[in-house]
Amino acid sequence: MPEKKPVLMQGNEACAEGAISAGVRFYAGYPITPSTEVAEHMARRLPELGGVFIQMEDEIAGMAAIIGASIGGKRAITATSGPGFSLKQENIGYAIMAEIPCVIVNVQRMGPSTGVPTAPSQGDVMQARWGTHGDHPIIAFSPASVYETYYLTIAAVNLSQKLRQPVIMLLDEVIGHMREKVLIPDTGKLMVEKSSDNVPADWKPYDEKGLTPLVPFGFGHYYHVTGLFHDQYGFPSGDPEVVKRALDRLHDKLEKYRDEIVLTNYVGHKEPRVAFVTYGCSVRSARAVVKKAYWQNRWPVGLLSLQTVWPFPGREVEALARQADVIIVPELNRGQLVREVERYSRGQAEVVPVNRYDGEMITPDQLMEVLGRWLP
Amino acid sequence: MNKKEWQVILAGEGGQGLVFIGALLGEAAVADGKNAAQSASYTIASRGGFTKADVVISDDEISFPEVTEPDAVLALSAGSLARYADTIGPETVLIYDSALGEGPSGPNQFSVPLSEVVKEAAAEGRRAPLNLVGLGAVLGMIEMVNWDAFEKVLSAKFPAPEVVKANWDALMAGAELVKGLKRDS
Repeated sequence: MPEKKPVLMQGNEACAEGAISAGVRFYAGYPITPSTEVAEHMARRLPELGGVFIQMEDEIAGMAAIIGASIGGKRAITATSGPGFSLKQENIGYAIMAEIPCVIVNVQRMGPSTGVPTAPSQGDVMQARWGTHGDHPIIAFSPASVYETYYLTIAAVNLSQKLRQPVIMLLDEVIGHMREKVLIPDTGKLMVEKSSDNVPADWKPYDEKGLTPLVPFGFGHYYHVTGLFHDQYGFPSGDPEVVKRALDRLHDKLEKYRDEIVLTNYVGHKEPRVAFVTYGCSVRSARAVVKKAYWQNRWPVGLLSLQTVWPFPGREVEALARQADVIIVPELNRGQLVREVERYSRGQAEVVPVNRYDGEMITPDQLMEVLGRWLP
Repeated sequence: MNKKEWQVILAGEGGQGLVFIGALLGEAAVADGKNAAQSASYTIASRGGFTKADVVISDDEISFPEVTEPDAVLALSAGSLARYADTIGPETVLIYDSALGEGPSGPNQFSVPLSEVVKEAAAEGRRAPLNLVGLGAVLGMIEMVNWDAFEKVLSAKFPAPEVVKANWDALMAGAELVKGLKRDS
């Protein structure tokens, strides 16, 4: 891929630039630390590109506005942090149910409530999964660098369009505020999924045969959109058969495209005795340890970093648990994703959580100390 | 200097432009062909409260973006000076503003009249930002990035040539202040 010269860019800016590269031309939201730079960058950039930036009266309205923009044919994104993410949940559920593409950025800070606005946290992992009610599917990415933030935001926009599914970008304060070297490709060099290509003549908004592309309002099709369970034409239904089929439909599309959605990366020893499984900024702590333990000392240590946290990369963790004796799960919370790791390890590896929740990153020294229980 | 990695802490309080000079140092490092990561720690106040910018510069990929073993610490406030005076190792260069009063004086700990430069400039009707003077002093002690890169980055950042010059002059003035001082390494 031809790339421009490297620049130092902030994670939040990379998120905004990634969205723009993926065709996003609508932003609505309410600024909140530590996500505000996403809004600031969009406010600067979108008008130059013929796009729209709106600061709404609150986060609920911001979420509603991007849903409206999306069904009107604009790629749309909003950004917030914990308190605002809580407010957006109801409308996220609506977008899932009505199958309206949108991307919600949550730059995590210490909670609960207003917490510590400027301190990093990974406390919203379960909220990203289950924050809105009902037995819904969700996609959530958690980048570990500025570079990953740029590319995962592009993937989030594309998948959201293709699957008509809200996607959550779960950043943390470290990744959002950090500046790092990135290579941004020239515009026009990226794959951008088009949602309304190849619309069949007998298009139905919620075709019971499976996923159909979104046809925005104003493009020749008129249909009903609701948060109620609905038939393939979008009209409300309480028929048990229709209800079951509609919920299966939401989950099936994620299952079908699982390989495009679930992104992980393994580095380190081929047959690790001890492996780290983590995501977001905690990947950086673990990577420093793997650098020292494996690349310098050749200890049997590895790192599975999860770019996708939801749907959970269960298969990848299960495979790792068959190889490693111990899986260490560092997180900036009291233990959230570690439960999924335990579930998929199926008792084949000892799963050890490392938790920090004082508003600071887990240091490589802290992880080296834990590693010292088994190695060298 | 063939060292592969540099770690710098730029500390003071909110409003002093510490994140700004941290980002500037990172941008210059990238313009100089290196990898860089800049992170920050600050309170919710836009003025006051402990603030610091961490900068890691390396020829390699940077794993951990925060500073764990600082080569240099710049302290522009009494609070930040107190925080680092006793916690850093003897090999870490500590540069602090002499206007903060009596401070530590180890072989690598230097009280430098940074604020004097700001005052002198003001008396002559010029502006010399304290943060740039401080960064200049750090770079004067440890030249971790080529000076040319700063010229490039400042020119790209500020459209007005007089602003570029004021910032450049402040950097140079900071470097000049530490000219006779020697790092004990």
